[in-house]
Order: sequence, then C-alpha cells, then structure tokens
Amino acid sequence: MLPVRQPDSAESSYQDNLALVRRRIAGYVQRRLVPHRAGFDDAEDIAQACIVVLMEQYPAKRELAELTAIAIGIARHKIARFLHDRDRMPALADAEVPETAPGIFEQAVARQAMDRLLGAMLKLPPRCRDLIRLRLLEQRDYAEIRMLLGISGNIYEMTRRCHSALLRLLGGIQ
Amino acid sequence: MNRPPDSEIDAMLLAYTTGEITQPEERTLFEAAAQDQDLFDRLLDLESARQAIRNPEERRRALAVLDAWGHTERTETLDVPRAAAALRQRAQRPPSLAADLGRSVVSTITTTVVLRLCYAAITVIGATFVTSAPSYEPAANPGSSPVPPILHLVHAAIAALLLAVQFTPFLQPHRIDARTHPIAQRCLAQFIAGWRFAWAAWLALYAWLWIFAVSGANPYPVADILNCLTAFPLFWAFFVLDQPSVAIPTNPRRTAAFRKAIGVVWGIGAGVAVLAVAGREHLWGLNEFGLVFQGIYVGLSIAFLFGRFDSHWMKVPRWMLAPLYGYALIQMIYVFFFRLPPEWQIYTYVVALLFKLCLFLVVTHLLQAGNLARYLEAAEDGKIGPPQ
Repeated sequence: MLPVRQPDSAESSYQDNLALVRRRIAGYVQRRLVPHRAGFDDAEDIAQACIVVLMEQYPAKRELAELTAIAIGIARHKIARFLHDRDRMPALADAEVPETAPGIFEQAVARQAMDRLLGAMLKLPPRCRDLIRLRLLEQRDYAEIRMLLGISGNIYEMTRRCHSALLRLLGGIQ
Repeated sequence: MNRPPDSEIDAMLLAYTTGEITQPEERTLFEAAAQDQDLFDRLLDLESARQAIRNPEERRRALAVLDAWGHTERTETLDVPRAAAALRQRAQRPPSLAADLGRSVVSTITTTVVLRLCYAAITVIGATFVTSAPSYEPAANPGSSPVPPILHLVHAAIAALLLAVQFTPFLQPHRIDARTHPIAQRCLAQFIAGWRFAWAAWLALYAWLWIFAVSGANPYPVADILNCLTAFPLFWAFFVLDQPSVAIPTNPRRTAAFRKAIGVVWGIGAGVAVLAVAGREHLWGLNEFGLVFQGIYVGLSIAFLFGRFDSHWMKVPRWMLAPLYGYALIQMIYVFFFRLPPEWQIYTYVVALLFKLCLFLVVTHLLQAGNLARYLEAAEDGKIGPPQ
C-alpha cells in the first residue's frame, strides 16, 4: 500500500504565504482601482493571475519576503495591463503602434508612472519638491543637496519626510 | 514578527526608492508589507514610480516638465539648473592654498586688532572704577574685594532691569499654539521660568555683594551660595530642552528622567556650595581651593545650556556662540579671582557683565524670534532628539 502523503510544514507555510500575498494584491486592487471600475471579481482575477505566475515561474521562491517582493513586480504589470484593457491607456492609443512592438507597453507604463509621480510632486511644498527632484530624479547625494538648497538641518530626515508625503500623494493619484 | 516603527519603515521605503536598501532591510520591509495592507499598497504605488525613475529618458522628461512648471509658476522655488551649474563650477575649482593662507593671515590680523580694541574698551571702562593705584600684589584678605560697590550696583541694576523687562509687553516670547503643540507650549513656559529665575538669582547675588561692599563686611560665604543658585536655573533650562519635562495623561512617568536629573543637579549644587563655604571658613582642612568646584559647576551649567543653543534648529549664528562659551570659560577662574591684581578683578568683572548682556540678547532673540519655539515644536513632533 502506498503511504498517504501528509502535507509537510514547509508546503503548508508556502501555501499560507501565497494566500497572504494573494489577499494583499486583491486588497490593493479593490482599494486603489475603484475609479477604474474595478470590482471584487477584477481584484480576485488579478490576484489569482499573479499567484499563477508566482507558482509557475518562481517555484523556488517560497519565503514570504521573496514572494511579496516578486508579487509586487508582477502585480504592477498585471494592473497596468488591466488598466490598458479597461481604459485604453492614452499613451498607447496615441502611439498607434502594434501592441506587440518590443518594449512599447513597458515604455507606456513607465511614462504613465512618471506622470503620476510628477502629479504627486507638483502637489508637494516647493522645498519638498526640490528635495525629491534632486534626490530621485537628479540622483544627487545628500552633501550636494545640502549645498544646492543651502539647508543646514538634517537633510536626510527632511528627504525621508518628503518622500513619505510623496507616497501618500501617490496613493491618491491613479 | 514585530513591525518596525513608522520612521524605520519610511527610511526603508526611501532607501528602496533610491536603490540603497540593504538585503536585511529589504527582507524586513517586504515581510512587514505582507502583514500590513497599507504598507503593501504604498510599496505597490512606489513600485511603478521606482521603475519610471530607473528610466533615464523618463527622468530627463520629468526634469523638463518640472523646469517648465517652475518657469510658469514663478514661485520662489530653487533655480536648480543655475544652482547645479554653480555647484559644478565650484567643484571644478580646486581649493587654493594661497586662499587658505590668506584667510588665516586675515583672521590673525583681525583677531589681534579686535582683541586690542576690546582690551582698550574694557580697561577704559574698568579704569573708571579703579580707586587705588595699580598693584600686582594679591589682596591680603580675600573677603575685601577691590571691586567698587558701584560696580556691584550697576551689575545688580542691569540684572533688575533685564528681569523686569521680561514682565513688560516688550520683547515678549513667541507663543506656541497649545492646541497643536501642548507639550512644547509647556516646555517653553518651563524654560522661561528657569530663565527668569536665573536673572532673579543674579540680581540677588549682585545686590548682596553691593550691600556688603558698602558696609565693608565680608559677603562671601553667602555670595558663594547665591552664585551656586545662579547655576541651578541654567541647568533647569538645559534639562527642559534636553529631557521630556512635561507629563502627559497617557504617560505620567514621562518626566522621570527630567526629575531625576534635576534632583541630582540640585544635590550636586548644594554639595558644591557646602564645600565652597567650608573652604571660605577653612573648615574640614579645606581652603579657598574649594571654590574651584563652584567655578566648574557654574561653568558647566552655562556650557550645557549653550551646547543646546548650538542646535541648527535654534539658528544662532555660530560667531554669537563664542561669547557665550567664553562666559562659561571665565567661570573657571572664579577660584583665582581673589588672587588677581585689583584692576584685573575689575576688568574680569566688566567682561562677565558684557558676556551676561550677550547671553540676554541671544536668549531674548531666541524667544522673541520663535527659534526656541520652533526647536520645541520640532522636538514634540519627533524631528529631533534620540531615536524613539
């Protein structure tokens, strides 16, 4: 008689991790994509599609931190695809190129993401906007930023707070 | 898993955006994100922006948009391209040894001239109070100071005036809104109370010296105690700026460290005063050398407080700190004061008065301009201080 295979604890933990990641992705879609008419079913579909990719393409990744990090990248792509299909992304519609052109979808996604980032940056106070611009877009180090802005305080702390404010604004722009 | 505090999460998110996150931090961040929907949402929001930032073409486009925005808005934002050009120009220009040497020579000449002028001013002022012919012999009786009573009176009158002016509508401190910063508002009140106490103690000290100088009696054992009393409110003011000094309903033990520090400092002050008095009276085998501890105690109180003024939140010009630290340093010569030639004692006395005026001007400026209020508000907001 063949022995009955008991699910080992590692497998159980993997399944728990996947379930947790799935719940987070579905939660994100439901919270963030309401203006795009994304409902419960859309959220479940996107989350499930991400989990399928995780299981099929990344079977060796089983720890929660690894799965979350990869899932975020996959979810970003799946959500962009969903928005494209649902709303017809203007950048793609204007481009009038075959959707299969290499990299064109990613370019359009990057452009939209940068537009969102700019939209959030323009809502920041001028000093914060300058800090974020210098640190993230011009990729300057803190010593340079301190000199450029003539700031004597804790430049790192200020950047951290501005970055936090930027993230809050990004959450409100879709 | 314990979720890291928000400040750490924010720091990790910034490091993640800039690509400077370490592997352990990244692991902590993603584990926390899996447990926390808000953090997961923020990470996913950030992910798109992060990918866009990695694209040099998109960065260039974003900078052009921001430049256009800044141009049309005509706000007071930084002219980054021009500033960047200035930075590049500055970076390209190598530091010149001649310029470094020139700066050194100029500062030497300036120091010599300025100090000579200061000495002239002090001796002119001090000489008007010197009653006897110059002598370099130390005073035979330490109790009989060559400092004329009028100088004590001037000192006391100035202390009284500067104390009184704090209770008038002039030079009123910048207020803190108790609705937004209740702790900072109470800290400011504590600081002001300590500050006024210091001036009241100086008034008492110099009034006492004046009264006894007029009568010719020896004021010193009591004057030493009063001198110690001037240090205590300065320590108080320092601890108000340094420790959580206001209890809150949710944390009544918040002031524990402050109360402990105040208690210990008060005890040390009392001990120092006892030693000073014992030294004056030649008790317990002591002599006037006991006063050295008093000089150190008073000097430390001033140095600790001025160390807080060094904070960039206070925005005290660096040069202005020099006379303040100078005031702390001259406390150390207290033990030698009575061994100095009479006119030197007078000059030192005048210098102490000038330093005290500097101190008043700096603290009044901090209070009135709101620099101290901003410091306290920042402390309440958690922007400064030890990591929580």
